Amino acid sequence: MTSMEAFSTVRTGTFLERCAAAAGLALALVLLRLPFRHTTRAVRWARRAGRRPLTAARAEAVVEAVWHTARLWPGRAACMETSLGAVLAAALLGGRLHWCLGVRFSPPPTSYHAWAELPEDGPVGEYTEAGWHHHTALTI
Amino acid sequence: MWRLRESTHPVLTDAGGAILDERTGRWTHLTPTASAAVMLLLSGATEEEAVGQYATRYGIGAEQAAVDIRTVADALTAQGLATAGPASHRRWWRWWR
Repeated sequence: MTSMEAFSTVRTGTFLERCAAAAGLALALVLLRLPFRHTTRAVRWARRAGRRPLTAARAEAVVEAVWHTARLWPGRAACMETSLGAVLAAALLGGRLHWCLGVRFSPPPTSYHAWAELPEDGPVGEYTEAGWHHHTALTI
Repeated sequence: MWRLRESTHPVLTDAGGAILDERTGRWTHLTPTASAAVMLLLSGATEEEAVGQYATRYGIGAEQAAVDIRTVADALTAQGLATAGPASHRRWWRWWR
């Protein structure tokens, strides 16, 4: 995964969304300490809680709220942590986001990435104006 | 028949490849030629057919193509990402694995 920290200094979302973001990020940090097969299993369970489709605006608000919360975490809060945190935060709010893990080969160098995705709307909070070059390996 | 394990999630392109192992969370990077070899092996062709297509694609001899493909297949099998045997069935008393 990329080692670049992902956080935002802009506070976004409602109070409820910010609370869900904090809880989602905390859960993500715990889950990512577990063997990865347990992490993916837990995410699949969590996904069952979130069945309601989110609007693009709300999904964006949740992802940015997680980035904002990640600012307060002194440890690693890169794409894995924030994307999983956003998916779990959305689930806590009863909404559905996909957690995607993928890789980009071009433009070089090869980079591995994790992101949150709206089922029919593509990656959330990612820079896609120059095209989205990541190939998805796993979607939960 | 050689195949990737169920817990793996491959991304195979002409520019390169990567395989995510869901059991460990580790990525295995594949060069463009290794990615092509895996694509051919997974395409349903026999190993002999895969060797022929690989040799044609890269303009090399059949022997060298066979060695290249076998090297990739053996390396992925040794890493636990692939298996040469029949599909295994998950046992109900080990559902958490």
